[in-house]
Amino acid sequence: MTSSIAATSNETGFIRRLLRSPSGLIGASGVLLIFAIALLAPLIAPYDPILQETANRLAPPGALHLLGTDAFGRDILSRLIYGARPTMALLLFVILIMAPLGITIGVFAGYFGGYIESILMRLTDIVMSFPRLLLAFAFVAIIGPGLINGALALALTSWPAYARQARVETTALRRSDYLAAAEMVGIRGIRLLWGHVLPLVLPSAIIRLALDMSGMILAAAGLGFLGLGVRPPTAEWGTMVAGGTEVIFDQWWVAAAPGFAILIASLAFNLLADGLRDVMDPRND
Amino acid sequence: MPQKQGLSLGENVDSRQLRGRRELRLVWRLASWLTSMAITLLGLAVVTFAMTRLAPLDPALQLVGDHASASTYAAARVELGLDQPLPVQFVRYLQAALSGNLGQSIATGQPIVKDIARTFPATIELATVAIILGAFLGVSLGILAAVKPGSWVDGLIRLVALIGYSVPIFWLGLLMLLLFYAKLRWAPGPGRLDVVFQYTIPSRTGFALIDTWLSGKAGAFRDAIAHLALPATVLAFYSLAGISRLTRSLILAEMGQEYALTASAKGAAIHRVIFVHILPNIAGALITVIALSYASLLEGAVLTETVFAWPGIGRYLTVAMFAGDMPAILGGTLVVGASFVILNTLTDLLVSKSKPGDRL
Amino acid sequence: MCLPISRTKLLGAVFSLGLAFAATAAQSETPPNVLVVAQSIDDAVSFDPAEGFELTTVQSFNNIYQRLVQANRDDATKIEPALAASWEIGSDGKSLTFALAAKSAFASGNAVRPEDVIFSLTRAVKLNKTPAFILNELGWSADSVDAAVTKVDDTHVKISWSADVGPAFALAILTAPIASIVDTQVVTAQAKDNDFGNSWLKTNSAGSGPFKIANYTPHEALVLEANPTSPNGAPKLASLIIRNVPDAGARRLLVEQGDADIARGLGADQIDALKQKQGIEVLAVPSARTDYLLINSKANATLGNPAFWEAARYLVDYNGISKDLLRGQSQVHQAFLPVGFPGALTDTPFKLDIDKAKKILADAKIATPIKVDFPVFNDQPFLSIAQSLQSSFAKAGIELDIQPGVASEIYAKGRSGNYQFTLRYWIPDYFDPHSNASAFAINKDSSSNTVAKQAGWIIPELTAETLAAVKEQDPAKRAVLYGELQKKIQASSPYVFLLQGSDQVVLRDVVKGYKQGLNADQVYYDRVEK
Repeated sequence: MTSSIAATSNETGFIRRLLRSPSGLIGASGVLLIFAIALLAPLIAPYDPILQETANRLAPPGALHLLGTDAFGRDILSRLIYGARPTMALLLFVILIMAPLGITIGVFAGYFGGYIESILMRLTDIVMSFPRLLLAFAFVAIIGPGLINGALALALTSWPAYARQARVETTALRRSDYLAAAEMVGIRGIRLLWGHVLPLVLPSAIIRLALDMSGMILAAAGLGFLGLGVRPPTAEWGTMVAGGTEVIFDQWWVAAAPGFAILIASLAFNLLADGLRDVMDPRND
Repeated sequence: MPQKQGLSLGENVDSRQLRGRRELRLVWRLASWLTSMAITLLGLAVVTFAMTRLAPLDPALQLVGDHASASTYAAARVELGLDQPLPVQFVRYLQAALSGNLGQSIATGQPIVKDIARTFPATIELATVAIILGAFLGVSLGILAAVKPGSWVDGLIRLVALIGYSVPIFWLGLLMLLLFYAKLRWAPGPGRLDVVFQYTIPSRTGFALIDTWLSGKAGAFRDAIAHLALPATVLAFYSLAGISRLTRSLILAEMGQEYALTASAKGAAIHRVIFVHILPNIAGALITVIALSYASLLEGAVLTETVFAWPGIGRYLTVAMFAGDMPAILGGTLVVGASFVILNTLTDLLVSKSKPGDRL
Repeated sequence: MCLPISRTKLLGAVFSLGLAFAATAAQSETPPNVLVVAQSIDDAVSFDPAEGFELTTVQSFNNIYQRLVQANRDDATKIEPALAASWEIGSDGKSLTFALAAKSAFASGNAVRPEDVIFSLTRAVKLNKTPAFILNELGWSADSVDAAVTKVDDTHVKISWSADVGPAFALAILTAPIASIVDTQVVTAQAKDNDFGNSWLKTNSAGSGPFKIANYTPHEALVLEANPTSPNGAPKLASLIIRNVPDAGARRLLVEQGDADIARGLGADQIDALKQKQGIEVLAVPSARTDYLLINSKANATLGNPAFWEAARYLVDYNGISKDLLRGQSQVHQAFLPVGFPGALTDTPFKLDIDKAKKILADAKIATPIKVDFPVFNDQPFLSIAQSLQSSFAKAGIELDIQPGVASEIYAKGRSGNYQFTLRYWIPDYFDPHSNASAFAINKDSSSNTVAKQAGWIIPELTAETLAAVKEQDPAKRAVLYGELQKKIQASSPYVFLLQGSDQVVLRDVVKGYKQGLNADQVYYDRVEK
């Protein structure tokens, strides 16, 4: 706990420390790079990702198409670049739903205690025990494929870990002098939660987020692979792997390239999480 | 804060009362554990049922197809119980489920319990072999890395683990299939057994390894292992990543502890220190991680089984999802979900038993 | 510090893994006299001929059961005797009296008698399962069927019908799999709760065909074994194993490496790759499946405008789809009767012409861009065709929003009229032009669920013409009538016919004597040998 307090009061030092750890450096730059690719896709992609040239389908990597073309004659490299967008968009959606939901529930449970805590924690335990991936698949399979549906499915099944963590930290805080001091000055209720509890609960949530993101990327790719991802003709890495499965034995690059992209993205987030953990909690390896 | 009143010094309590209290506490804990599991399972049933019923899929239409006459369609709706109000449907479903009847699959016309009894063992077999492989390799690699922290061995193992965490399992499976089956022809084709054996080995337990062993047929057991090799390795890769990292960090943490330092100061070789002193202490945490990994293997089977055409419950569910086969989706999710829940609560129990104060 | 123990442990693990891999000298040959077919049987619901209506089950009925009459293997328009040796048309033109072939017996040994014919046909109507509507076309219902199928004497059975159709049509209906003759004695012995033996027949067989079901494991395999006493003649194979291999790539590998003798349902690219290989033969059998676009004319004013329908006909990249995307798995076909049916219209007047389509839209004052919802089966080849359409329609300002969905979802949308534009397919239910004509050209008052009704298209005149065509007894005149119907629909209708499917079956060259016909059920294994 003390290290996270120290971290928030020393922001520039924190970033410097993060960048000094090798995994943090590589991870952070990787993540930033992927975001940049997603944002700048229209500027860097050589072709329109949905432009079909059926006469030139399944072309091997060459001068015209650096990574070859897929079954519709679309340029794989461009689709790879544009494919970063749904992935990042999904991550953003998931973060925006999952973290606030989980943290709010956890903080409320930890702060108010008593009945509220019991009920909320019971709910959290129940949802935590659900098979996350399976329910996400079933949800999307039933409600229908699409970016929002996928994000919703993943977020609604993943918030419990955040709630649990937030609750434990809030409970510990509740007994501490720090909050008591703020209450004495007259800060109570929501203001207290927002201004004093939340900032202390956020750091570990952020580490957890970074770790979770790599799992989310894999889960989203899995959804796409099963045909439950974004709607055609949008380029998405998991769907691209699925599309390449049929021709993998002859035109293996169609499936290999997007899978590689998934691997790199997931790796970047994992390294970032490692780096964050190194900085915030050097006890753990 | 006032402490709870325990036994105050001087009170004379005889051992029978003490034992009685302990037993009562145990019974109480068991009861509350069972209740919480029951509530979780009920919650899972409600969520899955709600999803299947509130979906834009029509199981009756799925069953009779688009060309069927209106009277056939109406008869199918009644047969599937879809004309009843939702709560009634749910209660009926629960009643049937508790008596072992999960309904009939729309796609196969078979009782779902039978379908699951046929496919679940395949998944369990795959997951079990994978976890054994993953745990074994994971712990070994973790020990290896912990022994020489900072060396190239350590770095390599950490890199392998990192990749294991980050690689999409379905993609890895595809590539392995491409390499080992298509190009090198080392691994046999998809499925659990070759055609030669598949229809001649009586299926006694549903586990290919056991059935082929019992059948005594030459080469059958080897065939079963060969078919398991590739998918199990792919699955094992993912679990070994987490297990090796945890093993490494736990051992490193323990090595700084007093008892370990004392032992090595006394002259014990490092492997003795690890195996005799450290491992028993971290066994609890390791088992927890392994159990959780096992649960997630069961759950993640959906992807691997698709790639390897493994006839397990994951593939059964995928087929059901794409066929819009509501009863099968419901039944399959419940069964896998229930196993997941049971495994998780058991692990929680293990955790609270080994470290009673730690309820994170 | 050295740790020999851990290192050897690690090495040992890697070594044994390698051993497991190397130890598999994968079996490369399938046993002689046993045919192994790799396909997906995930669609199979029931092997009861009164209930099964999926590709897998319907293809097997041909080999497990026989009917009174059957279609000629090479020319399906000719009807030949099967369990019936001959027949006579009744004087009123509304009945047929069949003389059963002598000495026919089921696989169980029981003789084929008129009672079996009566039992088989009446149970199919009374069970009222998915394919029952085929027999309903003869005007049969649960109440009237007992009077319609009657025993004349120990070797003759009379079949009559009340619907306004001719005997040629009735014979065609009797060649459908639902009219398979089952062994009454075996089936009634297994009946439970008045189900006419339905739950037992789901996974077992009681017929007289060249094969019988030895074992059926859903989602895994169907094992058929020879029935040497079949009136059809004993098959050349000893047994037939249909393995469930849902993944097309896996199927391709199995047939390539000899672990399967026949593979179905391979993708176009895989078949291209296989064509070069030794020991493989690719058979392209025209199928009766037609793929078409369905426009809901009631969805909004634009979609109801015949100019939109016409423009759509010019916005499909017919050649690109059939040649480049589907690589010979489908041929361009633009009428509602597939080639091979009498009266099929083979003209293909429409081609991809973006400018012409734009002009048609502009002349009709239809403003672009238009956004159209496009629900599609979440499956190949529909997703591929849909993406091509999306690309070509976009060039004329029509944006198609592809919404992949499960089959029942798409059907439900069609039935309720809750869609704008969709890609569907039609497979004839029985081998007669009326099956397709009644779907596309009948809708007097939206009372019966035809494709025309789903398109919101009310056509009393075309309906009358279609009903006249099914009554017509002269086959040449019938063909002309259907030709005219197709021309009218081709010119203007809320359907855009795109393709006729072609079933590409991959065989190893040791397989001889395999035959497959136009209609979905016409798969013949009885003369196959290795």
